[in-house]
Amino acid sequence: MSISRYILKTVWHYRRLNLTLVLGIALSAAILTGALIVGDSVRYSLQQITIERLGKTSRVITAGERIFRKQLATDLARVSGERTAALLRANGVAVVDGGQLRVNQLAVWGVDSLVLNFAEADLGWVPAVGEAAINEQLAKLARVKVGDEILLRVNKLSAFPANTPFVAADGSGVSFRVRISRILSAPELGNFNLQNNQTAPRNVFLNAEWLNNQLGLDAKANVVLLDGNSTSGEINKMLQACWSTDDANLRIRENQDLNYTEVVSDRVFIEPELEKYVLSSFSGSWPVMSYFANEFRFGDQACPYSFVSTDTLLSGNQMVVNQWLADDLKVNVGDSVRVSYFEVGPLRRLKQRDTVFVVQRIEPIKGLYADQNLMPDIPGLSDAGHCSDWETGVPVDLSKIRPTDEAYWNHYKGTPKAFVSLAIAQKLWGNRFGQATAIRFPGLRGKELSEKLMASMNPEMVGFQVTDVRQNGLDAASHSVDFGQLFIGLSFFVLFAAVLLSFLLFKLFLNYRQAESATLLAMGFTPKQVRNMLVKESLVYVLLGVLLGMPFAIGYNKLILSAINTIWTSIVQTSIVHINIQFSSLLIGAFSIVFISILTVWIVLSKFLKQQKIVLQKSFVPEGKRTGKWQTITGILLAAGSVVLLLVNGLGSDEINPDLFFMSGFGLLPGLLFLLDSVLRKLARHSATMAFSSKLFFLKRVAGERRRNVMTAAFLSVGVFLVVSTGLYRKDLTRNAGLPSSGTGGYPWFIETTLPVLFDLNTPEGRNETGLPDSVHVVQFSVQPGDDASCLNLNRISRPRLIGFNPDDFDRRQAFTFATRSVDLDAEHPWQSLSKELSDGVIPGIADQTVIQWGLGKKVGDTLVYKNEQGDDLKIKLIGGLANSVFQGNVLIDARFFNQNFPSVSGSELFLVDAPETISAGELAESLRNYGPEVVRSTDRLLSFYQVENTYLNIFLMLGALGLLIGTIGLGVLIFRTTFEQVPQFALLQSVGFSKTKIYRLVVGEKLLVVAVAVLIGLIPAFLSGLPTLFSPLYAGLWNWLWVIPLLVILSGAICTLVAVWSALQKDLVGTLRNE
Amino acid sequence: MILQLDRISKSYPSGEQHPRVILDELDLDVQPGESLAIVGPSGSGKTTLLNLIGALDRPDSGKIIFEGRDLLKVPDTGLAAFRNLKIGFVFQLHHLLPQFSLWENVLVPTLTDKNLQGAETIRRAKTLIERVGLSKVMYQKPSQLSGGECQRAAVVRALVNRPSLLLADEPTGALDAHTASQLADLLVELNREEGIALITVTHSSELARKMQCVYELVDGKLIRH
Repeated sequence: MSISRYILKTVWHYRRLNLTLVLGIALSAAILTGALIVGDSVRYSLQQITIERLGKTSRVITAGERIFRKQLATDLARVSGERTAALLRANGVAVVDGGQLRVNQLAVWGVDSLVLNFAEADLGWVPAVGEAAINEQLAKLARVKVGDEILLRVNKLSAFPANTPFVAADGSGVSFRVRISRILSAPELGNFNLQNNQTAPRNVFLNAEWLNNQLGLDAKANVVLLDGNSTSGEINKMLQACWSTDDANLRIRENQDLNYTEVVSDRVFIEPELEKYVLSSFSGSWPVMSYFANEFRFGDQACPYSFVSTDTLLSGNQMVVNQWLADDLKVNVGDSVRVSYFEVGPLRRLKQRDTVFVVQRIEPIKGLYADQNLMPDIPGLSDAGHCSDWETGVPVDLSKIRPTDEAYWNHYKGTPKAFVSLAIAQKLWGNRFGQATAIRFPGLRGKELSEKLMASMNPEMVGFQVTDVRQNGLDAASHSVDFGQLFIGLSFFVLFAAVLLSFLLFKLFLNYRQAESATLLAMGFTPKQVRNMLVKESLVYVLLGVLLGMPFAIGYNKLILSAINTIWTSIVQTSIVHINIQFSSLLIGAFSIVFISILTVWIVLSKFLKQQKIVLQKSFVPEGKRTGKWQTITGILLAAGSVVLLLVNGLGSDEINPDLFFMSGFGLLPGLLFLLDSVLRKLARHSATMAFSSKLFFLKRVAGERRRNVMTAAFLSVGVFLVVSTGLYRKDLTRNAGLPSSGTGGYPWFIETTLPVLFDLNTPEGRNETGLPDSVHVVQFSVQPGDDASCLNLNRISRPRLIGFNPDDFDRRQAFTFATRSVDLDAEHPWQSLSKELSDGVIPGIADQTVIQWGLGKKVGDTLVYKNEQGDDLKIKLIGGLANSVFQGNVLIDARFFNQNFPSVSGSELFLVDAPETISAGELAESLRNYGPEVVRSTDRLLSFYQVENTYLNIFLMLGALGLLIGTIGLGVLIFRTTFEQVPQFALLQSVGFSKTKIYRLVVGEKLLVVAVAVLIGLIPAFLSGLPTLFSPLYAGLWNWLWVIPLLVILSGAICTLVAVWSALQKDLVGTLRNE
Repeated sequence: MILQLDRISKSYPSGEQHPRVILDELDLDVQPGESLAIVGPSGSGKTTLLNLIGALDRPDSGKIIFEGRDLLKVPDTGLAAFRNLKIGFVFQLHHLLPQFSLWENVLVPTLTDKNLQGAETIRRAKTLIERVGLSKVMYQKPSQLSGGECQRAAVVRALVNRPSLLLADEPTGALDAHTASQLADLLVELNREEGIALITVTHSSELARKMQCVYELVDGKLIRH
């Protein structure tokens, strides 16, 4: 007989006994491998979504709010050799069935046949005039089919930002009807989306030319797709080679009469970076700043609504007035003229200001002083035939306009009537859009200037950005939330329990093999040979377990994926995760379990064989050497340390930190286990010197099984701790959502609009425009698009959406709660800290702690780097982390910094609304109807986040409960095993006069004491770690778990004990004492 | 008379048509302080007989009269108290509880009743331990004792409650010859000193010879030699 045969026959002989061992290993393998497959599946699915949503697009050129020539894409294709397509992207709202159904947040794309370079589709994909191709997601939401008609409302795109001073607001967009020509599937680019998000967008594709016409544009675009591999730098250079002044919204015009050339912007004001660049690059150039004044006043004489410009020869508060104004106001040199004007703030907030100038000269309307070009091109103003036709973005009292003003307009248009120094003009009227309305050059150099400027200027300076969307998307997908790790973490306890159970079963199994091992050793086998034989034998069980575990792993993976899909289906309306099994994961899972199991076997065997050797050599095992001193010290240190940590940092600080409580609890648990071990050691060592009581007998019997009892306590207490503390940390926002300190900030409504609201909704004008009642208070946020960094997005995000706002309202009501703070966050007025610029131009930002930690993988104090509109780096330091708020997924910054860096972003698209209970969602939606609002209760928004978090918690609870179940199985096995091993002792007790009832009570009492102590050791830390849930409004705190879980554990322990002891006592006790 | 077995029968199911008869209308009388050995081949029913005498098992028929009481009429709970007070057991294996010291093991039989835990019992236990020469190791655990020491401790445990009858089931079976001889002597001496009746089941002729009389169990009946 060979050793292999010996092993195989042994395996076969003990097959029934080791079935549980194999099952324990199978369970471990299933859980570990299943978790790894989940990681693979999520990563793979996100990569597939990225590939699907981008088609063949590799890079994208955008220019913020700027629109450029559609031809730019064709020119770029010529220069780069890559395939390109120009798209016109707008936001839209779909109105279906005459307003019965509205679908907001549409992505409206103007496309032409070039887009087919990026999609797996036929020519019929490109919609004809008046037709729309929509994606399946929108078709489902709008409940439309091919041939149906919908009304689209699309935001008006223009060369200038919608909130440019003096430009009339046109925020309601353009409406037109379209017929659905095609419903596009995801492979047909139906889910085209430039954002790293697994959520299916709501896409509408229209004929680009037709969309341009509808928006009053001519062959414009704002997105260029590329399919090549050129780097961002190379594309930028190619862009420089083919772009024109039109693409930068600049115009260069010559004035032959006055012999100058000037650069003006379609955006009225020239962007500061551009101004700086042109002035430094072209010597002899100078800026001009013209502004619309409300009134010139001298004494009783007033002249309304005129332009004022700059004169480089002036300084201080000197002013030159033209002869017409001098006559009108009856001023002379040396007189003081008061100029009234509007200072235009964010959201078109106007403040009328006055400044007094002293007349330095009076000039006739000739030459430089008759230059109509000084009036900037302001749509609605500069192109008006009469003053009465003005359509301005500021209130104009047309009744103040006199015939003489009309006559001046007819003759000189907006030729400035007064001139001031450039310095004071820029100081008074400079704004976020710019500090100059033109830059002038001496001589007629239009062509030269145009060529030089466009060839040398970096497109990034005016907001052009090349984004490697494909690589970014794939990176975001591959660095997405690691579900493999997450579920290994969530399954940790089950894994721990399963491994421990296998360890325990194996150890118990070895008891059966004692005689055999001793015989083998006696026959001359070396311990190493015996160990190798047993290891090989165990390897057979392990491999069987692993093989059996693999199908279970796939089943377990399916179970988790269906849970994940359940969460996201309700949120993103699609099942996003599909199974992807990587062979490497199966191997890693299998090898890990084999390694852990064999290592465990090795350790157990080494100890076992050492004992066998001792038995064989009849050596004496000295007892009492291990006094348990270090267990006592460790136990005391851990327990005391945990309590100190809790008192000093948990309760001592103003803010409750749940993590510290949890850590304290988790530290206390091993501390208590060490102390239990120490107490049992002491008890075991204790010897009655005189009287010997029943109590001591009882306790010493418990202490006699110290190792097993501590192991049981560890098993159960960890399970009880995890399940109970997890239960306590379940969140519920619905109870305290009205409090300002809650995640809603006390604002019951969260609104996002499809089209920006350009004005302040809290002003009379705003209320007049929308019909919102006075009882409604709104906090408005400007939005710089970015990726959603909330827990609803599975991708790893580096640049979340930025939102700018005025934090005064939050400060007043002490809104929200900070989970983490940096030193830069003011203790009393944390929100005001947003207004203080930090050193080196870094600006402060606040985000949800979950976003900082999980979405971004950062911590408070870290800095995020964005690109602002000028192409410069915008560094945002995260100074505070909010405790679970409605802002999950966003980074909040002060409006001032937001406007400085993203001046083109006009209006607000995000709102927090405080309204009385009587105001319904419907009323709010109706008020903002023209802007495509999504009105949700703030609590509902929070619940959607908590749905994810609580699902994780549920899975954890489920797995924790499974672990606990395994723990109780382990407990059962232990109880049965120990009880049956003790049968000879029961027989002995019976022989010395113990009745069966007494033995029954004694043994049941011992086992239940261990279970009760184990439960207590789990409960005390769980209670401690759950304390914050008593004080915090965020948690639902399943406090009934405190008694339900222990009860279940004690109940299962009691059942196991009662059955085990009863069965043991049914045995022929006396027979165990027989000699023969 | 301390013990009278009257026509005791005991059989076990054998898997065949008829049960296997172990004891067949067996009679035995034991006087106080008497020592006797029961010998016989393996499977002859010696241990069964001892278990019946020790009230660990019940016969199929017959009577067991112990100090005038019919044990078959005593309920199970009463039998436990009877064993505790009247019978001392010594087995082939010592069955000392490993987690307890020798001293504690000796006192285990006193744990059934608080009345047994008085100073008198403590004194007696100490005396017995001294008597069997275990004073120096009385606070050690079984794992720290030799086989002979353990078995002597088991004898003390059996005697601690002053039983009327000591039942020894192959008490020297697990010991080497020298230790076995010593233990045999000890049992005989204690039997004389304490006046406790001793019934020992053994394969050892040496031990059997030391008893006052020897019975052989043959075909379910005792034959006195």
